Amino acid sequence: MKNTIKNIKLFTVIFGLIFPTFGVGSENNHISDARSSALGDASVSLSSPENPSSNSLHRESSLAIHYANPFGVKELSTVSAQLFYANRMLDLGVSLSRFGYEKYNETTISGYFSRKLSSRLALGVRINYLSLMMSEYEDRKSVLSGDIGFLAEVLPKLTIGMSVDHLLRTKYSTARGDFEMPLILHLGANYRQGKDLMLVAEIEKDNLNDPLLKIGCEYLSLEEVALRIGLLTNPYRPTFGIGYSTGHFVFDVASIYHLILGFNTQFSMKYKF
Amino acid sequence: MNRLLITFLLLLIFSNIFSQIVDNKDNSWSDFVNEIAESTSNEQNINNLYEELSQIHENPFNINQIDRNQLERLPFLSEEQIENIQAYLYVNGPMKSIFELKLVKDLDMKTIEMLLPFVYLGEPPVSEQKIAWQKLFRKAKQTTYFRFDSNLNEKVGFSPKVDSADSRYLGTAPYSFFKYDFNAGNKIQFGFVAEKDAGERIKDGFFSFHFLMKDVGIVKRLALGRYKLAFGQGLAMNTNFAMSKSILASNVATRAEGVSRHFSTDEINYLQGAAITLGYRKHLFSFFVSAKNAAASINDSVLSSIKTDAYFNTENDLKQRNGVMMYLAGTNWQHRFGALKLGATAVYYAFDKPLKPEIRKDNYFSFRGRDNWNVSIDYQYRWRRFFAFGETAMSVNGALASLNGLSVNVSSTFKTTLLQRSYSKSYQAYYSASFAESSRTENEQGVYWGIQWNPYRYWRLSGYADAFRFPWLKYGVDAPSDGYDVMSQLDFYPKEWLKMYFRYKVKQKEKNLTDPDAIVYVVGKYDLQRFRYQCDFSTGDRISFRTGIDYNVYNEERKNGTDGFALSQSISKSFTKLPLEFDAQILLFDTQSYDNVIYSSEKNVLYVFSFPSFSGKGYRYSINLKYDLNSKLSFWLKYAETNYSNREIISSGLEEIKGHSKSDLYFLMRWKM
Repeated sequence: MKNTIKNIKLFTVIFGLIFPTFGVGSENNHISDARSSALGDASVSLSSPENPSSNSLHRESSLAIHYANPFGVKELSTVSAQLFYANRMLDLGVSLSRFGYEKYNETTISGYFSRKLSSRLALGVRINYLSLMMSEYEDRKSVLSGDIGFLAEVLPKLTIGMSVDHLLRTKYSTARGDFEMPLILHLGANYRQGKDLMLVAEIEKDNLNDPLLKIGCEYLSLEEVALRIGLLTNPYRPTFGIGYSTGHFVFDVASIYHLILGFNTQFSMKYKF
Repeated sequence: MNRLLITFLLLLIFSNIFSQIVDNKDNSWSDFVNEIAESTSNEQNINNLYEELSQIHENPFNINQIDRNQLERLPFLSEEQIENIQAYLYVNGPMKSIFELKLVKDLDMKTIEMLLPFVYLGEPPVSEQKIAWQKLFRKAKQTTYFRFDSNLNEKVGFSPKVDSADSRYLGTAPYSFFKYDFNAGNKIQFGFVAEKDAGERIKDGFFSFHFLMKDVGIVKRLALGRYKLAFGQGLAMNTNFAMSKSILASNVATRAEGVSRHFSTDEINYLQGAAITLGYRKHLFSFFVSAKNAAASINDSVLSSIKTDAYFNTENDLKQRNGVMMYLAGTNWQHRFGALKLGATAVYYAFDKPLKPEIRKDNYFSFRGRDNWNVSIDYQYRWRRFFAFGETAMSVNGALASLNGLSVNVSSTFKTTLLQRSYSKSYQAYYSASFAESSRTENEQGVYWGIQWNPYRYWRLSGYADAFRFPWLKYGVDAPSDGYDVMSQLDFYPKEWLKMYFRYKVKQKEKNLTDPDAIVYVVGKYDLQRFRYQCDFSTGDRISFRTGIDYNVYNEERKNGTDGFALSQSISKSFTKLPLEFDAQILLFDTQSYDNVIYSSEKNVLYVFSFPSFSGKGYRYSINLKYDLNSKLSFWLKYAETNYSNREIISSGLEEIKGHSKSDLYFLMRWKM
């Protein structure tokens, strides 16, 4: 009985939340690191995997792994890893991300190419290869897409960021018809007040759904410990998290709270070099 | 020397601003109460807050003798601000000028503006070993109040009966009360209240007596007669005000005063008997007992419901009077361990007849039976810029209610608070009042986040976002439901004579949709968005103006959206040669439906919180006068009239008025004996 309820719950969650978005192109395995998630996912103006140019404004090489486990259902987990390498010619990066379980999964491989154009402006592009396993009875689908983004420090305290996901994309065919990834625009800013406070906001809009507003706040209560809080809309979800940095390592934990489904808990570990 | 110099400079710089604030004493804090009123469904809660603040306003605290308990009664002060005021007085000694408030760390102009009506610069404290009782009684303040309100139209309830079975009001139309207050140096207070509601006979009115003694030896509080109790965050015991969502977005912790007197005309939220708080070292022990009659509906010696209003003006209401005897006994312990404050409360209460409300799906988990008890543990902890607070309570059926919050004072310009609550659907606490979207602390889970940010001088951004869920059905909502409540307000106050704000609020919830074709109710979403712009300005000569623009949009699934609009203008003038204050306001409203109701904050006679709501099309104007005959005798008079352009009948039932206008007269006399 307990298993039946669990299965029904799982079925409802997957079909209710995942497939409607999947049917028009999936975003399940976009890499969201725990820091960004704790800040309401308002990450386009931060050094986060969301913005293809994020690696270049502060020229930082790093290796990171991320794990997201929504609502305690392991079949909905996403595991991802990314490597950024900053160098004089062109900053490079690569990431690998996998969402789902054996009967349904998505795997994305992305390449990042970015460059600092001036002391206050960075521009980047990302090429994604998405492989979809939608059903046992269908072949694996493949999609290619290209993203672009920039980061600009317009004032010493204010940075704005923008990215367009799937600006170029290919279609894929299923038994239900042809689909393509949605075009998504992220526009955001972060404002630093003093040494210990950062406020961040972002608007996300794709060509199919209502806009999402994202707001977050990060407070460095101690130099090594960051407390984070945020929210995102449609549906309304509060977010929280904590980060700890020591030497070359940064550890972040975050949770996005859904009123009905519960907590989407995420963990990130980054090594900076 | 430096301090004197700084004070002198501040005097030069801020004298204009302060004098402006002193002239406009009421506005800032009554705005804060109005804003809470708009966010809450608990009207009595707001009246309690307003009366409490009005009483302090009438008898302000001496800033040089102010103690923590007194500061905690001002809900707009944060924990850190309270500590900073105390620290300032401790380090620098008594203030020489009220302008020194500006020197207190983290006390911004907005907060000072709200604080000023409640404090005055008085004598520094004198260390006395023995209480000079004779001196205290000789200098005691005695005040009497007499209020008289009346509606000037003929209501159906006062008209002759057409049929012998018709119900009519038994008493006369006016509302009236008489209050007497005796206060000997805040050590001994006693008083009584006699009140008659509109339509009530005098003998069916509300009569109340209280006695309160404070800080005499180990007795910190002793209350006899009618009194109020509030402990922790109010999850087990709170008959007082509970903090709610407001423009002070990061102040949401409820401050429990413990034992306090009941001097208001609230006929529901009080206890009757005795309560005592004893102090031993850093421990505080409270014990309380109460026995009181309450109005209730009774069927075959079983209580079906306890009356939630206090009108006894018809035969049917009188049948419910004194329907149930409610007994209560309990205890509370509080202790400070440095920065940590811990408390525990246990309360037992019983009814003389079993309470068995009719079983419906939504009240399936409500309390049924003859007695119940609640226990709780509460805490407060301050560490650096962090303030944590919370309470967890349990009812006899084992159900839990828990509230936990964390406030972070990031800097003097940025504060934020996170609050989580989880109240079980079967948590039962009759005397509970705490932070909640619903009017009761049951069947609710939620996460609240509030911020206050002063990014630049003269600018303030405040906002909150609250997400909540009701795991069980509610009255009018036949399914588990959820929703959110978001507010953001931008204040701009560039000059001492000019301030303005823009506010946006949106609340989405779920309810049974009234679809005529539906066989069963369908639960669907509805939301209300409110926009408000307000501008206060003064042209000198003690004249000030307030302009308000309100617009709201209501949307409901399966229905077309509706909107509402209102425009208001008020003028206030106080005279220098005459002890007279004059206020007038006009409001024009136009709403498409009742869902677009417009709230208006309106000045009223002392102690009366006025927050009328309007729907339909029409206008309202009010005129308010205050006249001080001498330092002891003051009079307030208000006349208000509402005219509807699309109605020929106002209200319904016994309150029905034939015609398109409704007018009311209010009068209050205060005599400081």
